[in-house]
Amino acid sequence: MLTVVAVLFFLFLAIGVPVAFALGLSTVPVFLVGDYMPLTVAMQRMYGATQSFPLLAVPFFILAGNLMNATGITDRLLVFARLLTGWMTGGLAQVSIVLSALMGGISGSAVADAAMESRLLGPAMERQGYARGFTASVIAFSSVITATIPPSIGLILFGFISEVSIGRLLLGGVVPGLLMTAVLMAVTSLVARRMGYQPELAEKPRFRELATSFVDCIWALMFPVLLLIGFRFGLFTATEAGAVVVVYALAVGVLIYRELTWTKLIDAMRDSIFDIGMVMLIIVMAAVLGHALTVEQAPSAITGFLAGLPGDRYVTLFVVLAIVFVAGTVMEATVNVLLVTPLVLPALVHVGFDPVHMGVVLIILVSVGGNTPPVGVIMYTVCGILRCDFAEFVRWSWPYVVAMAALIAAMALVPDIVLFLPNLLM
Amino acid sequence: MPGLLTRALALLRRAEMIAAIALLGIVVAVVLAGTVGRYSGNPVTWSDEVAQALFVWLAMLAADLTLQRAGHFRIDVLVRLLPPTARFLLDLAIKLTVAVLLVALVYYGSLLARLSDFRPLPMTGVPSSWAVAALPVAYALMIITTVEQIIRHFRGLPDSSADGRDVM
Repeated sequence: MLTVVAVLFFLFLAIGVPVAFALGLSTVPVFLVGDYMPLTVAMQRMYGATQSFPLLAVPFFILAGNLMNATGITDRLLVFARLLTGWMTGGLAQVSIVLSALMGGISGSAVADAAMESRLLGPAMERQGYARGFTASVIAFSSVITATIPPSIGLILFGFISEVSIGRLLLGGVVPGLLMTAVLMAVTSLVARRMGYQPELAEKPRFRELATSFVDCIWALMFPVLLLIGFRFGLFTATEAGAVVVVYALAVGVLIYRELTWTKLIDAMRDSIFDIGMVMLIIVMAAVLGHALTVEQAPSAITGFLAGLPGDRYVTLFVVLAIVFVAGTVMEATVNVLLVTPLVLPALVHVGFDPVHMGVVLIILVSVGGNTPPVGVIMYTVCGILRCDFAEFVRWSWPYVVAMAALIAAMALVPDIVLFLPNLLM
Repeated sequence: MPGLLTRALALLRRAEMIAAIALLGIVVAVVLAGTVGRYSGNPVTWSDEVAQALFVWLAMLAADLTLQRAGHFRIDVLVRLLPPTARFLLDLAIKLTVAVLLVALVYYGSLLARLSDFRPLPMTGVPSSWAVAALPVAYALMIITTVEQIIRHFRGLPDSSADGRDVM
């Protein structure tokens, strides 16, 4: 039965059925043959999937990120990032990386960050004579930082799906996010030096300039800190934090920067609606398949298989990372978090890995998948805006692919890189 | 399509979008009320329940609005390799299959809604069928969307497609 379901699912996926409907359609045989699930039970499962209070954190953080983008904070962060790193070799490329890190603190979406930076920095980088493939690669890979530094939509979704502490996950993303920033900057510096790309600013900024710009951005920079404090002291649950964060974004946009207009507010809400619809239909449809899988004991079979691989637990880890990486190249990051990670996480936990540690590693891995052909949404977005050829993108991206692979390997093998902060604070 | 039908459809979509945006705002406000209430010593007992009952409507309306702009994730790398006629027929077959699935979901969704008429939500006492009804209603809206897309398909018009986006 499960084989039939699996074959149908992959067949539907391959011929271009939207993932959500592929999930629904592939469970049809279970209703026709299996006696444990009449269709009303399937509907019950769909309804049940929406009746979760923690799940509400997802739409709230999506909305908060879209709102923050509309508050006028982006331009201020750009000024700050330019002062911080514009004087380095390959100035604008470094600015793009630091801007991603700064944006990471207010937005949880890599694709949104990549689109914003392509529009904001792409033309300037082209004028400076940067190769298009280089510009596209830097912007695409640095956007993964945004998806890692809290608040991270990926980590929140993962926490909900796999029932792992969202507070610990978000804290766990801090050090890897900063480390990624440093590694990407180092690689960019090497490439820029080789290509002879000049700094953007002639000299280092004065302290006063930097301080003024810092104060201008303080509301954005404080944001992740306040959020983590809220979690640390258990002031609110993830869902409540989401609602507070929406109000914070509104207040900053209306009262402080005064750039959030009614039209911008409605646009931000409309964008959020499309994101929510996409995620929720998958969650709702997946609940039916999930029920069938559980009754057929598929999850424990998968766990048994992966955990029982010969050799020590690192064999299991390696195989899981390989599976998730392959899934990441052919499917969107969100789909992977919703469908693949809940199937492989139990095996990793079973052989002794920490779920928070694995969560952060897996989320970064699937986010990087957005930069790889054949299906890479970040790559599509950046190349679409910059009019860059995919082949050129791939040719320029390999130093970043190597750096990311090394970083992910290091994080997978040294749990403390991820767990240091959550263990220290929570 | 006659003009009246087109206009009715446009009106329906506008209403859906307005309802979804309003629901999003209200759900945030309700959760916030619960949070503030907890800290100010006046616990709002119904906030979780109301937020969840409204959220199912928000989620399902949003799912249809996303379908309208062909915004649900799909893998189209392989399909793009097919010749145009094959692609046309495959796309049509997929849409018809999805439509049949949706019809079944509307039928059984209404059945579940009728069954849950007798189960009130614990805090507010509102029949839970009010929340469950979001499923059949939204699936019915998705049938309308799919049928419209099939008609567009026959006229050789492209789906109003979303630019590549991902939530993460």
